Amino acid sequence: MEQGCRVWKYGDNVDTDVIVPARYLTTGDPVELAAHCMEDIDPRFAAGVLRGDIIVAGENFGCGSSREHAPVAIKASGVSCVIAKSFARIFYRNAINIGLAILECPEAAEDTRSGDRLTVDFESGEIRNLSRGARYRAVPFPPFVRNIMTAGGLIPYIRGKLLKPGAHLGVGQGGD
Amino acid sequence: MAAGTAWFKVPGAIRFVLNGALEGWATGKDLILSIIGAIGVDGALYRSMEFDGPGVATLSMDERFTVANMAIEAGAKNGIFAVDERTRAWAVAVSPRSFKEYAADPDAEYERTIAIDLASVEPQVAFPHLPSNARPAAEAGETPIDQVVIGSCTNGRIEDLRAAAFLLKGRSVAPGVRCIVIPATQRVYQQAVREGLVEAFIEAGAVVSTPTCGPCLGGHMGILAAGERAVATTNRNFVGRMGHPGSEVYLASPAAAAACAVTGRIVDPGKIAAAPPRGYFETSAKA
Repeated sequence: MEQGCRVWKYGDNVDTDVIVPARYLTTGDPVELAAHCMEDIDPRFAAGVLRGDIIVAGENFGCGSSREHAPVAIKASGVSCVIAKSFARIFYRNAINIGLAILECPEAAEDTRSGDRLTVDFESGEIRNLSRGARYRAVPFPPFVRNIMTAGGLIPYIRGKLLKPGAHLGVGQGGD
Repeated sequence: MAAGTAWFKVPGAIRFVLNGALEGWATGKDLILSIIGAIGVDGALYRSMEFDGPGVATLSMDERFTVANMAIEAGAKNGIFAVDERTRAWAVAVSPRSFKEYAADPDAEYERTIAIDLASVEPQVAFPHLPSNARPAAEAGETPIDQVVIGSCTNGRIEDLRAAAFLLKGRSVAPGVRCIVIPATQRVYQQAVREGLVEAFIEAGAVVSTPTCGPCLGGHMGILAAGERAVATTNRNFVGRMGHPGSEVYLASPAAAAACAVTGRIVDPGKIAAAPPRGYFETSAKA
């Protein structure tokens, strides 16, 4: 039977200062950043998070400072996806560009509680809450955004394209 | 750059029609804090905030920069002002490069239009731990403070430093309060030295730093300890922003922050001095 991924639930306006406090920005090492991920909002997170876990939050997730360390820390902590009612725009771009999977889904965010088990289908946008027997529908990202996330971010994505002889490089064009 | 293209999610737009003129000690900082207070930290999420209307002409460029700088604190993708004579004079003064003007289409569609009477804006203080927790400084309850930070990218321009120096000159930073002044750029720093502002700050008991993000994000210099309270002209006051997660940051204008430094409490700047006529601190286009 499908197990799904375990949820860590947070509220509205989770800012990048609590996702990774500036006092740890002396390093860019993802593993070190992950050790302090969510420290100022949930000291249990970094020690308790398991590979594949999902963060679910309310409105405006990732607001505040533009620090790329925030999605990097979440990704390095093993989180497989962040689902929120909405994302702050710089975090939204940073997450996609460093290859952290995110989805906007107000219904799922409203319904889901810490410890619930979810499955996510990025292609269709379907989120299933196995603990509550519920299904939610997020608007899936266009294929080029999914490709950037799957490639692990914009840099590996572009690098992969550069290695293909004769391939055009445009982001979000053609059959991308 | 490698691809020659970049991906963007096109934002919707919110139009802010500004009418009248700010009065007394109210500044661009108070305008943007009151807007964020009204619409929330996600009130303009992934939107463009467009400022126009007759009131724009009454705002100095430095004030417009502060408003635009903090558009992100309402969640916005950008904050932009309609180009006017002041913008053109500024652009000519700061750069020899030619520039191209852009204006909103006459039939541009807006998700919302919000009219603002600038005369109704009072000096604001945003309480911990969100920029949207704004309320009039006069209603802040004279809360005691440990530190004041005047400057940063948000409010470290020459006009900001002139306003702060106006209130600090001939007065002293309250005992037990640290007051740190941080010009936004080396150019502003030099100008502040030439105008005698730095001397006024030092004589009042403040310290003046080279331009740096420094304490704004709890980087260095003026890191808050547990339970400490700071008034800052910076842009954010989230939990732990300037140091210990148990510290507090209150956002305000340079004039309000300077008044707080003098009194050691959160006060309206009108409490210690009457405001000079509007435009008194403005940079001349020749600067």
